[in-house]
Amino acid sequence: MLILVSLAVGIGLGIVLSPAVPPPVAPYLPMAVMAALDSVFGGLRARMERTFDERIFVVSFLSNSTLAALLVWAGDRLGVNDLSIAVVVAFGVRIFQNLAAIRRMVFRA
Amino acid sequence: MTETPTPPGRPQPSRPARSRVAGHATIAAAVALLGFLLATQLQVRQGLGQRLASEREVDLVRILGDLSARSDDLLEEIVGLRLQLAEAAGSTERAEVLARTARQELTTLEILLGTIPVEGPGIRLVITDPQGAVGPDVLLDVLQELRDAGAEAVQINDLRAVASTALSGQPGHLLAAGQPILAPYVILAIGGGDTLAEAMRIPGGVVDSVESRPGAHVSLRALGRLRIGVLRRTPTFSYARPEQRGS
Repeated sequence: MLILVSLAVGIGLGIVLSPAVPPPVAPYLPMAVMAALDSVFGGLRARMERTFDERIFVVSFLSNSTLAALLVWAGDRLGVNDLSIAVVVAFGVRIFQNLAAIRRMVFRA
Repeated sequence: MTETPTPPGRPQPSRPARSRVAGHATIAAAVALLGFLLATQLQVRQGLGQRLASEREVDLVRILGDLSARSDDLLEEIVGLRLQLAEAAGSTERAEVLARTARQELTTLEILLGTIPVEGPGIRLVITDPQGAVGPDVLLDVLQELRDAGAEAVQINDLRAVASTALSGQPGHLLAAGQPILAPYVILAIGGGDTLAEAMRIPGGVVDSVESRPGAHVSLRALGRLRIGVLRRTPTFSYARPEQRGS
């Protein structure tokens, strides 16, 4: 409940404030969002497996987001232009795995 | 990736209950941050300008390249089509000018040859010759004087007089182009009416010379509008041929 409320609050804040994303940062924001989504689903799964730890959740949430964005940024600087695909694939696979695990636990199938 | 992201939510030894409130708060903050990021990102994706702003340099260069190539293609197409348009317009215009000139020439020649009826101002000249004293030379003089005064089309009785019309015969039995014509001779001429009338009445001119013949009399009237019919037969040429040019 708390989680849903804070998610709604966050979305509401984003819509109301509609912050202007500076162009240099704009390409890396989706990476951070991917990493954050991954952390959230990972946390949801861990909670259903009763292995959830908020410290690890918060740390991984922040560090994964930052690292993903930084990594893609570094790749652009180094000339590895498609590192964003690596991030998308890595987090995409993990999100699907987490979702599959959650689905199995929810539906027992 | 140099470092595998730490899988969140691994088993941990249980922690004191006092940090649970703080823990919940941080989770709430993290999830709120996620919502915030999501909302921001979704808004960034809206609008072409913002979408372009969020593209990376490489993609921007590629997009720019694509657009430039497309723009070049379209510009070339425009130039080509403009050229075609100009050519088409030019040829149409030339054809129209040629056709107009040709039509004018045709009309002129038709009037000269007497193959179309014409109308306009002019004079009506009636020569009465009860004693048969008027010969073809008199009518030729009349014709000559009329042409000299600018007559553009002439008709004797109901016969159109053109370049090929010959006047012959004896006084009282005149022939025009082989056809007999009878007195009184009614001559219609299209041209400047007053000019023609003046030319006829000039002392020692047509009127005087006709009236010097016994019994002959001339009546002359300028008309605002008269009509002259067509030559009965289109002239044919047996000997005269267009000159072969460039041979």
